Amino acid sequence: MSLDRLRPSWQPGFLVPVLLAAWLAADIGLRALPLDRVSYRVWEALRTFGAETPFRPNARYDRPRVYGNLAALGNQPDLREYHRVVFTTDSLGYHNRPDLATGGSVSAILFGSSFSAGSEVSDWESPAVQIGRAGGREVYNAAPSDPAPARVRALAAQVGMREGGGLVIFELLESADPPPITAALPDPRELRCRVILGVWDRRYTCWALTWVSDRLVVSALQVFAARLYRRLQNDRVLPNAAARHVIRTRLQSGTELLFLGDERATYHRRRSSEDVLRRLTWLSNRLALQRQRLLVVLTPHKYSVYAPLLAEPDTGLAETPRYFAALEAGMRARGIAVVDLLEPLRAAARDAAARRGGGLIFWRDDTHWNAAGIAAGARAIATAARAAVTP
Amino acid sequence: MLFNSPLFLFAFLPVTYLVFWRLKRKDDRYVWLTLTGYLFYAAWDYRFCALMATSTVVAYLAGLGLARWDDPRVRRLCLIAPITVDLSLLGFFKYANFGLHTANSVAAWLHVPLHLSGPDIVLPVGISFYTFHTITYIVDAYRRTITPTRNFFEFSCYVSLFSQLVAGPIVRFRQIEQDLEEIDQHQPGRTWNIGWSFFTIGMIKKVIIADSIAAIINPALAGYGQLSTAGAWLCMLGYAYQIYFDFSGYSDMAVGLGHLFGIRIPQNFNSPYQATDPSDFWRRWHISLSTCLRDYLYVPLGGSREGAWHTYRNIMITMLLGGLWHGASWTFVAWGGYHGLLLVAYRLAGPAWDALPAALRRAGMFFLVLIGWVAFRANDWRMASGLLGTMFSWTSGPELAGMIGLVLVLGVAAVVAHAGRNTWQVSHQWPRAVGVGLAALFAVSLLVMYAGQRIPFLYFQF
Repeated sequence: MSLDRLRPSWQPGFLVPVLLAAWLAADIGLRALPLDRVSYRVWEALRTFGAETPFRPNARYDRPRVYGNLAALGNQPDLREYHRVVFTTDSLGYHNRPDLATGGSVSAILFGSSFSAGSEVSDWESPAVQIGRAGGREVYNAAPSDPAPARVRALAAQVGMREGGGLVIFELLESADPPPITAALPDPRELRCRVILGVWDRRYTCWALTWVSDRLVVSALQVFAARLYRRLQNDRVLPNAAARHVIRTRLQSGTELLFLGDERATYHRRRSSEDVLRRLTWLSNRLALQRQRLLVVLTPHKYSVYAPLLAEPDTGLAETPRYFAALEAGMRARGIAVVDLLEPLRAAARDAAARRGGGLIFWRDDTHWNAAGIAAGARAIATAARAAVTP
Repeated sequence: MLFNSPLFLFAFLPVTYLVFWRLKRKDDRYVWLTLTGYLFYAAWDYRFCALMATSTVVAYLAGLGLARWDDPRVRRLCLIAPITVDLSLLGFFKYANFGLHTANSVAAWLHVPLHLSGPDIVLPVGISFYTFHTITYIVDAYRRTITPTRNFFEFSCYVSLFSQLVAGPIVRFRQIEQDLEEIDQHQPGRTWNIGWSFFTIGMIKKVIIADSIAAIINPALAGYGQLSTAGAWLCMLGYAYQIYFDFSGYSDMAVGLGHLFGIRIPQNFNSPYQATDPSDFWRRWHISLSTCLRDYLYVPLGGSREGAWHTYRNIMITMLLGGLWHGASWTFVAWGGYHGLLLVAYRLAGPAWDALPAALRRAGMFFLVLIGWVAFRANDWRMASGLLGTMFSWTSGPELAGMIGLVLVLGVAAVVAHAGRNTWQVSHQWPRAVGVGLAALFAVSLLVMYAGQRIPFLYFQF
């Protein structure tokens, strides 16, 4: 492009190309911003998606005002429940206190979803910590990841879990699948890159490539633009198009809260337990070969917990209790230790709601459980864990 | 790929532009524009590039044949064979399932046990446009209105020119023939400012006005059964402006992009909502289509040369087929038929209509056009009749979500559409305040684009 066409003027022929160039420069520049400057919660700030570790290793996230994914997803700013989160990761990139990975005192490893990882709660409230506190043992938090036998073996060796034994706690979220029946462990992008580059990966090459490819996906400018636009989507200036993703409703106690629309659909969906049981049986047998005991924790969605407490009763068929019951019976028949959290959490939710002010065991604006919910779950898991390791 | 997407603005357009002006030879520029046209098209679905290539080769060979042979029978073969191929492709991809569905419906109505089912056909984007490009080329060559080009790349460049490839305007070869012939003589800066001015205004019309209206009325129309009478009228008023600003915005962007490459794409809209009668409306709305229908359908049918009844018949056939061109649905045919009836009525009662004050005729014409948009926008008969029923009988209902935004945007849209000058009536040499204002609105468009609100152009589906 010859520059004679770009002589400064007030015409679109100068202003618009210059604007586009500046916009592009800003977009590229802002992609280098640390993600915790862009995100509203810890998950996006520390989570890595192509790297070898689930979270950035040795990181500390301390923000006084984070809020929930449902308030963001459904664009419901008035229901945001601001709270402080302190989230520390160890050298392996998991949500643990830093010395746990090298302390050699671990007797159980917790795998599972973002529920187990302790999304939205601080270090001292995470499921691993609360299970450990309730059961009097050190639990290593290896979530979010699944207990593929190869991963369990490697991690057990790294964290010094009791030689030739130990408990593997697998939190199986209502809509999640157990790991596939395969001994192979899918490699993250960074590791695949190392394999491909071999000696050419001079320590930082693959890390840098992964970092850049992650930045190609996340544009801070897009995030800021979307936030700005969502402010207009308030049903007055523009319709709130995101509202359809979430259900905004009240409990019998009068508390208003949000649910993910998909969770209600899952609650009513008839599911077969056969494939899940087949996978868990294989997993349990493989872990037994490594002399590790599997404890499966059936974890319901927020909607499944609160469905009986809604002010406007859900009259659809409740499939989740039936599905969980089938899973639990199937696992017991196969000798796999299992605990179903549906009833303990429902009981805790009822108790909390009955208290003055109508307490909650899940965040009002998030899909995840809060410290109270985790405590209720941890008590049930700790009891089941004791039974599981008793000969 | 949309014009209002980061991929287009920050990668496709700069690369296409820079390489184009680096190339000096005519053929190099043809090849480059052809390649970029196919790349642009492939960004949507690369499999259908072969379809466009087939249509291009068939029309090019027909043109060579028409240039070479004078024997009327051979020339007629060179006319009919390629048009049959083009229309067969169009018929299969656009109308096959529609035909089967209609046959099933008729059979059900007659209580005949017939259940025809066809393959799951994906409608290739822009097929209606590039099919018309090739057909008009063949017919013009047959009529000797143009001299068919011997340069394959010039022709392929004409068919696949990215700026007007998927949503028009329907550019006839003769309209850009001179610019294509002189493509190696263009100077890059000559129409730079006018090109960006057109593009900027088009972007603002599309992203800020049309898409904002769409964001409000689409959810409301999805639940049209809940609309109040006022809500239904507001929605249809919104749709009238949405479709105008969407399509004329796209056309402005296409014209602007053409200018950046030295190709003058003709005007497609001339303030249609300022029309005073049905004939006037069709001289102003989607001009490239209406003139094509006139020159390649209405006139060959006999036009107005064979008496009143034949004229009315020809108008109705032209408008019904024009409606069908827009989409494989009887609601589009009804829309075409409605406008055909308006044109016939105007022929019958023109003097009485013309005696009315101009402002009243404009308002009346806009009202009639707006009623027509109900059939055009409706997904089916049930929706069309439901909307009309709500509009013309008092129904209460909840207030539309986004009412403040809708009223604001409709106000701006109404002023621009009914009282403003269009992009072809201004010099594109702007005073400082206007230039800065346009750039600021362009920045807002980028912000909306980055916020993820990228709504495809309405005419992509036709």
